[in-house]
Amino acid sequence: MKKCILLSIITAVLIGMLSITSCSDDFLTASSTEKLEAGGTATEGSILSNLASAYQILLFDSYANSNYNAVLLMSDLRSDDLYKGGGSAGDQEQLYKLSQFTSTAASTLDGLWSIYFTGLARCNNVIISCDNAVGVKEEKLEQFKAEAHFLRAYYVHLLWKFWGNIPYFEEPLSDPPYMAKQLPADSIYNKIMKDVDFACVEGRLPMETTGNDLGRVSRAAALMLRARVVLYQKDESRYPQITNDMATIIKSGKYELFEDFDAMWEDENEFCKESIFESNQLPEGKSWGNAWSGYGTNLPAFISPADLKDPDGIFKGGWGFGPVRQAAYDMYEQGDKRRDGSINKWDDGLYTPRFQNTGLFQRKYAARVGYNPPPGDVDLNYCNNLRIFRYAETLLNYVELVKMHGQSEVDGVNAQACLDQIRERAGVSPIQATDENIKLERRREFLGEGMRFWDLVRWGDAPTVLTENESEHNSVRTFEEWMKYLPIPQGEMEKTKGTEFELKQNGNWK
Amino acid sequence: MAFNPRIPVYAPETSDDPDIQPISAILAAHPYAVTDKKGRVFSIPPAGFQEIANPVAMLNQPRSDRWNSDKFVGTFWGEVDILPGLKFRSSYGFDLAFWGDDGYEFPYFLATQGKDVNQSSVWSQMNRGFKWQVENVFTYNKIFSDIHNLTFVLGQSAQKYTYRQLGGSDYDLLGTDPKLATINAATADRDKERIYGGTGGFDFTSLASYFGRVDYNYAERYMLQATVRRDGSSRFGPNNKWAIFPAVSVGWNVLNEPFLIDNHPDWIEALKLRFSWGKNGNENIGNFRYTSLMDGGQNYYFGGGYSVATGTKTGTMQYGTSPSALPNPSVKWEESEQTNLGFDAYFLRTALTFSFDYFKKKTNGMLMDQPIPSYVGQGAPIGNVGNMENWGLEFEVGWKQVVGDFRYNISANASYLRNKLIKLGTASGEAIYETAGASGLGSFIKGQNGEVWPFFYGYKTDGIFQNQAEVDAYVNSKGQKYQPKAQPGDVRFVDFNGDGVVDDNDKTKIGKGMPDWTFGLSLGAEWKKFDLNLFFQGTAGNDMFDFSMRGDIPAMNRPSWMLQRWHGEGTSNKIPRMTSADPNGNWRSSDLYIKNGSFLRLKTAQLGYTLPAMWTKKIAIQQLRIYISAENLLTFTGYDGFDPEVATGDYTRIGVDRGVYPQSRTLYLGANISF
Repeated sequence: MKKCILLSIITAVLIGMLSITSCSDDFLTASSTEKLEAGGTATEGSILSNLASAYQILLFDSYANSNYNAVLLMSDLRSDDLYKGGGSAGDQEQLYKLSQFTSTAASTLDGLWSIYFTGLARCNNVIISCDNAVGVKEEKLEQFKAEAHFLRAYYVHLLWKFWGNIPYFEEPLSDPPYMAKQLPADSIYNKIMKDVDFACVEGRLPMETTGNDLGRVSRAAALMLRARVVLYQKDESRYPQITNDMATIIKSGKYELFEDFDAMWEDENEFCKESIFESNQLPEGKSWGNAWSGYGTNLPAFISPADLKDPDGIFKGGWGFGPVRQAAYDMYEQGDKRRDGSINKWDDGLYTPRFQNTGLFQRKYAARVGYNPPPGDVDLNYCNNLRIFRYAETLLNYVELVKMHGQSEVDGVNAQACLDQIRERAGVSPIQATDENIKLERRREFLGEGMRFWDLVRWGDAPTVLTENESEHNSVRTFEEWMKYLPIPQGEMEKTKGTEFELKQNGNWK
Repeated sequence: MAFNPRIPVYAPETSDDPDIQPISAILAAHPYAVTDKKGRVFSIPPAGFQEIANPVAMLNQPRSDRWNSDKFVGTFWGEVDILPGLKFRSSYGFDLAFWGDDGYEFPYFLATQGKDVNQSSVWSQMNRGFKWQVENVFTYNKIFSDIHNLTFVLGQSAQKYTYRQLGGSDYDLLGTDPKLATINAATADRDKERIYGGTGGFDFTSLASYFGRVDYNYAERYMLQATVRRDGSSRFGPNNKWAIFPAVSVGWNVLNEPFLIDNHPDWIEALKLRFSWGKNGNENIGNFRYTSLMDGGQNYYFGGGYSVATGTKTGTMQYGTSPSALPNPSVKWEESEQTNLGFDAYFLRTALTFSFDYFKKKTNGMLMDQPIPSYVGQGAPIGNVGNMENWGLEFEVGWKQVVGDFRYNISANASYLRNKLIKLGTASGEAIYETAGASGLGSFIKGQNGEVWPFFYGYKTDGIFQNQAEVDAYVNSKGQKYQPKAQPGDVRFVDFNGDGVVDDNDKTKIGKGMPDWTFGLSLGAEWKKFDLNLFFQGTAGNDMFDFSMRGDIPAMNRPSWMLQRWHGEGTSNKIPRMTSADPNGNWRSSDLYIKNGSFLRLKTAQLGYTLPAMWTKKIAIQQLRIYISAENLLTFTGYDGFDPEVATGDYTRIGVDRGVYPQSRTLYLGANISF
């Protein structure tokens, strides 16, 4: 009995000692075993990993909440080149509404909104970490900063084109109520220009990126972005500057047109000499459960005809969205290689026709055999890189600035010759650089590349060209100037309601 | 077949219908089409069904996931009597758990979107979790003058949890035998193998407490208890780890009063009044929410990508990170303050019992993800943002009686609950919790200050437009049509705020998923060797949001109530016409989705028979009882979906029926044997 008591006293004392140590604050201070804390000092390695996450946004075109928001297609659905397609009007209904200019706050491009705002937040983080850098060479730091400023300008310029008046911030919104002020589109333009000007400064970025840096932002990409933004804003005070920018790229000799227009879109010609900037997709990692990950793109599956049986075994089937209009097919002249390089015409019986079928499908990013090898969710993981800027745009921008907007030619760069190059590669004879021809040439060149709608808007042609009554293709629509900005998503409106940051809806949208 | 009534479960030998593919066509296009054990080929969905697959084929998918677990639990303790009435008790408990998962998948085809797997894969993982807890308590008890019973308790406790994991996966199994579905029998490139492991992202989580308690009992007449505890958690930041939680309770045994003890009617046995007040804490959030960690895996390739020609990667991956959710350094313990008032009464020598409670619970600083706009570009910070109030009543009554060989008992309980969100913590006092944009539904679950939390949110409807004249006549005070795109057969939505247009501002509360009443009834009876037990359960005053229909796929199978839709003047004033274009947005969130979710269900029923001991003793069995029992045998409800007791997961989704698998009705036959 006594032994038992003794034993229990010893036990009690031992356990008691164990627990005295356990009640200090140390005992309650756990730490992470996998992740760094945000906002600390940044080594070159951590700046590079922050920068990678900013680049990663380029890979996203679908979003976990069933939003398939590939930015190229989202741009083109409002154009006169494509229809919405898919299973029915109700299949991805928000895209049908988009194409009919009948979007609502409840049915808009929520995915796109989230993706590029996340891009903005990630770029902010890179720039902040550059400010907190330790032991990084000044020259490298300048390059990282320029890359981040370019990416921020690129993501914000997309939000600006789609929504115009958007909230904007350059620091994490980490204090209640976690919101930022909505700025008018013209102020957003100034923010974008500040970033893009930063990236354009000579010496910060190389004119082209090669070798291990392939895929990184080049100075040419920054100059191209500046031209795109200035042209869309119709900021004539900047036209001399961007005319000179285009000439700088042309005269640099780093880029030229790729000879074979059709082959340019194949895997082996990604990052070819015509490519100024593109997303670097790999066929893996994206899953239905987590679309915010991985490297693939869903766009090829999305825009390829359903159940396709290609007799040549080159192309694969998909979901049948974004069929090309007959009028777009017919705009090409006899022998223009860009027609069959941009559009796949499939005979009846080779595929299952779906909504708004025309038998014509986009070819540049069409699903091709071997481009999405297993394992994984293969429909989400095509490896087609999305070309963001290519040299053809440099040439056509230059032609437009000189011939349409009356800018003087830069020494040694002949505008008509630029247009001739484009025509020659397409296998058609030269034409005169009239306004009409320049517009038509851009349409022919960039079909399916997310350019047409924005071009129509900035030329002021959108209301006349886009208003139509094609009931046989379920496209009866009216475009008015204010519709260029989409409705801001309803959830965002509701979350800011009643605060000093209350978002104002665009135009007459409900 | 649940996805389309025209498609058979099994594929036919031949078919003229383009939507029904015969066996030969299926196998030619999809050699991995799913078959049953006898090799019969299942039908595949026709075009337009997207990711929706044959549900019976899904049950036969060549895939397995087997979970395993082992657990060791133990407690050691010691107790010392230090002085008369003063005791010290020390204990140490541990819980060591191992669990894991082994799974495989062979190629299969179920649907073109996302359910077409043409490569076999295998995966395994092992986990170990270890939790220990110590508690040291001094207790002092003394009785003064025979009637003052006093107890003091002073103690301390601490607990800590650690975790680790290792797992992997690989592709391309050597054979098709499930026995060979192990990682070592997979042959894919090194590149495709995956391993992962770690400690779950944290080194440990811990909790610590100090507590003291006083109990005082005066002659079994008056009782008082007071407690104070100080709790600390590793989940909060440096300045907010600790919080103090007091509680007090008092009781009065009325019939033990001297003037009543020998002086009360026979039919009443005891009456006890109770009152209590106390504060409680909740720290149930993830780790490190007070800070912002860098999330990884946001990678990008430079220097090249993937070469289709060679099937290899040509670039170099740059690992990517960005800050995860926004930090909230001031996040702290959530507190709830609860007041209870009640009594217990015993009548007729305790054959009849009755108890009643009123409670009111105020939760202050509820730990919730703050509903921030998604343009912030990072996950939402957690915050002590909400204040909520619940009050309720609880009744319990029991009766037992023996009549000869027959004995029975009945007990019933009912509770009534009222909930109100006092403060959401957002400037607008509102938050949207659920939105389904792709199917045209829009936002449909909302929280709002001063309302029950959460509630279903949508338009009020006012019947169906029977003809064009009704559409044209539905105008505001300026004579403008409310719904210019509507056609006969479409839904008439109410201009709820009266501003002359029907738009999102007209959405309002249209129902709630939380019941007013929940109740239970259990009946037990024994007669000779037979016994019977029944348990009923039910709710009243709750709504269902019946979202079991896929709005975005027109050719999708519909619930049978669609047969009662509008298909000509006067045919229906509730269910709109069928249309794939739907220009009126008939299926946006509205009260058409709301159904009464009240139900009464016989959850369990058991009938048993105990064999006479004189028979069973011969085979050395003390007692042998055989029984038949059933779960979910009967359900009384007006709800026309699969199951009013739908499992929804998250609290904000309570009452939302997305057509998930209903609870099954189960029948058992069993025996209890004691030797």
